[in-house]
Amino acid sequence: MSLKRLLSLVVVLSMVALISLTGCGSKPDSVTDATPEAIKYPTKPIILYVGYSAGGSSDLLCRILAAKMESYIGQPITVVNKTGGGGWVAWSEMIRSVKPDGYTFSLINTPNYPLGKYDTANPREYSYDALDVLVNHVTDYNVIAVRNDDERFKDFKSFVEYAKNNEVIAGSSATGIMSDDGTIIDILNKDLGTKITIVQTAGAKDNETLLLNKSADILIGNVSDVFTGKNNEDFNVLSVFSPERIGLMSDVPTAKELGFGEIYGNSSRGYAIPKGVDSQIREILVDALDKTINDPEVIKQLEDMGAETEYIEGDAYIKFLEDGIRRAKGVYGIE
Amino acid sequence: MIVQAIQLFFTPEVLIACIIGVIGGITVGALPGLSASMAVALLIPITFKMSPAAGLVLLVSVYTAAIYGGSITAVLIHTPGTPSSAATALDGYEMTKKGKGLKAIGIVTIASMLGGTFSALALLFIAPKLAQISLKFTSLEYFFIAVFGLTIIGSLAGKSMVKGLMSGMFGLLVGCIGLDIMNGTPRFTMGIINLESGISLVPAMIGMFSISQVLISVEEIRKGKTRILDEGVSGLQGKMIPTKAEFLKIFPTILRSSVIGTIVGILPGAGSDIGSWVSYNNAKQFSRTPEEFGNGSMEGIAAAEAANNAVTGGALIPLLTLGIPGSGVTAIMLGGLMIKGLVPGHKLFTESGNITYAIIIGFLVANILMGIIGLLIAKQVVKVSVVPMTILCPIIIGLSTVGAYAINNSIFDIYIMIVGGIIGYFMRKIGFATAPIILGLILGPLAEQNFRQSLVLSRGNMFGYFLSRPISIFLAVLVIISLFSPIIMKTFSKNTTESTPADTAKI
Repeated sequence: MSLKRLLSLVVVLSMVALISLTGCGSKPDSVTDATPEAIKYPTKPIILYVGYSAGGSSDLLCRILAAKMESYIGQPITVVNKTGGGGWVAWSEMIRSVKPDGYTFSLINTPNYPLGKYDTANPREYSYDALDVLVNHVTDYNVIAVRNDDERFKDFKSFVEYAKNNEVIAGSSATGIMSDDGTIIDILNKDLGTKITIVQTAGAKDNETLLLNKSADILIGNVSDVFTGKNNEDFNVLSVFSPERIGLMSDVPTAKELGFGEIYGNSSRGYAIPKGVDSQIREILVDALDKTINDPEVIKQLEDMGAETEYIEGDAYIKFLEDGIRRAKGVYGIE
Repeated sequence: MIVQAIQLFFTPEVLIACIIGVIGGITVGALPGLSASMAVALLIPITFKMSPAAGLVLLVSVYTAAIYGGSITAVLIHTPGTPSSAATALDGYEMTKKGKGLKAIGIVTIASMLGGTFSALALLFIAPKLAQISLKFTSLEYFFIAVFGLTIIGSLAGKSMVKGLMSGMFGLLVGCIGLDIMNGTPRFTMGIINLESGISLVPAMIGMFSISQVLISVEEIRKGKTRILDEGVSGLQGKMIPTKAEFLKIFPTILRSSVIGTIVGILPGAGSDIGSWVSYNNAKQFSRTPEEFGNGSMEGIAAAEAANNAVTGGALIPLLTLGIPGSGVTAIMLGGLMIKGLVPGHKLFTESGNITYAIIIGFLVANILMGIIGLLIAKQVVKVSVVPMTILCPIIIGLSTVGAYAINNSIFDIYIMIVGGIIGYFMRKIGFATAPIILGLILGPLAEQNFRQSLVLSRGNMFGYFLSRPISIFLAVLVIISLFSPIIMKTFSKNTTESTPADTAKI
């Protein structure tokens, strides 16, 4: 028995064990019937790639979607976590080696996916159109929050005044263009003349902890990050950086209505497939996504986690992504 | 409210969830690679259909039971089921080789049960007060905790201190691989995207511990040794339950380790793996027989085990009271809580108090149940150590490969496991310990990140910042004591009694 054969046996065994573990019964990469005329789709479970580890907010979103989508598309959706590279392990694989047969689709996150190409420290080769982008699911707008008992900042105006003359510290989990939080901080420093210093952290939860333990002065994050803290009256959310007030926090004013101009920022999550998927299959998939995302039960589950559903499809979604890219490029002066 | 909670706990759905959680958790934990975090993550969608109390009891039961289950294989076949059991493998496997596997499992079980129960009681009675600890620690304190953990490298070194330090340095170096946390620049990734998030801990650990052990066993098979047990050991011996004298010896260790574990658990970002190492180090320093550590010390096993299970309850404290997860697994649980409409905070203990207390009672019962089940199955599982190695080795390879793949669904991780196994094998052959590498890999990134964060937080005045933080000063003193305690102990013991020369035959 050659070592190679043994190894491949072991690998196959591991795949089988994994599949039985995640509760789906057929092989993920088996060859599909090559009959393009009669579309019978889907005839086997569909795989959903998540570029982040199990249990995180991206993963949870996909697992909620997967649980419900089965009833609309008729086959189980298996969530597979392909972690690493800030999501790019999953996306690179989607672009390079996943077969465009409609049996694998992927979560895509902004800003990581569309702006990866413009990352100065570690640029990626692909722009957003390397995949066929389908629909947006949730948009998580940026907010600024402080501790509820912090006497220095009562509202956004008093914060800006303070921060013009004093250094304030905020946590952020990525830098510059690759971070929606970091980008907002750069906009505030540039346009409003604030002096905000960034502490790099490993994730949104760390930023929240830094604020609570008084290491950081402010938290610039997303609605979902401050949702719990606001409900517990630990955080005072000063402003939201969105075009209009948002449903989950309708009492929080936008920066625009406070007279600070169009400062917008968000992190959003949507779905994409490899290019070249049959148009009928694509339509079935988009239809199922539409029904699942707009299912009241799913909307409610996400609201409980602090995530606001914003369904966008087709050209409007492409425009949404392009707007985001243009805005970020503008901030950093990228051509 | 407590009465209501108890009534809620004793509904069939919640009880069944607790029992299934414990049995499932032990099983998943025992399989290498299938860690507690993975089990909890995969179970969350299943809890969608369950009542809030049942769903969360299932998750907390799986959590603590998986941490325990991982230790069984660590003791019997030198294959830690989860990273939290790596410290247990050091002494547990030595006991198994001497035919005392049953006693080792007994101590693992009792220590895990007591540690877990201790943390559950802390969670039940003084959670809100303890939660404040998690806000007292910032980056600088974490940095010192990481350094304190690293000082243990000296005591893991085996025969040669220099070789131990070299192993530790190698671990720290490997820990540097990946994206730089401050500016996102790739370090030592050689353009391989899978390396951007660093060398995955679990595959590296499986390689260094399990695969290298299999390679050594294969070599021994060729020499004619067929079982794990050392030559001259006729068979399984000893009782499962420790004698009164033994119990009295390990009980103070268990108590101290439970406190350490609970506190480490409360600290956000420090989980069971760190808790077990810190506690192991502490137990060795307090022990009257430190030379036994690494050669089958019951205190060593008890310390690591009481601590890693105490972390579970500790980690739930800031999760439930502040919404800040105390460990990686509880970070995953946060999602499970939120989906059930249970928003962490003081309201959790008042408005939905009956559910919350039912979950805590479930966690308490799960820890006790885990101990009972563990003691019942111990006599059977320990027979693994008399299974011929020709059968055992292929099974370990198979399970390890599945585990390494499953953690990130990545073939690349299998390569990491194989490379780790080969490096581990040759290092052990020439007298280098592998545990310091794993320790460096766990604590190196933690130390680096927190040191660089505290540089920013100090606003340019690092020394003044350090002096303004009493906990940091205390921890820095601990680090210094830990570094120099062997020298201090030596002079001290010379003055009192002449200690017996240490048995340093093993690595």
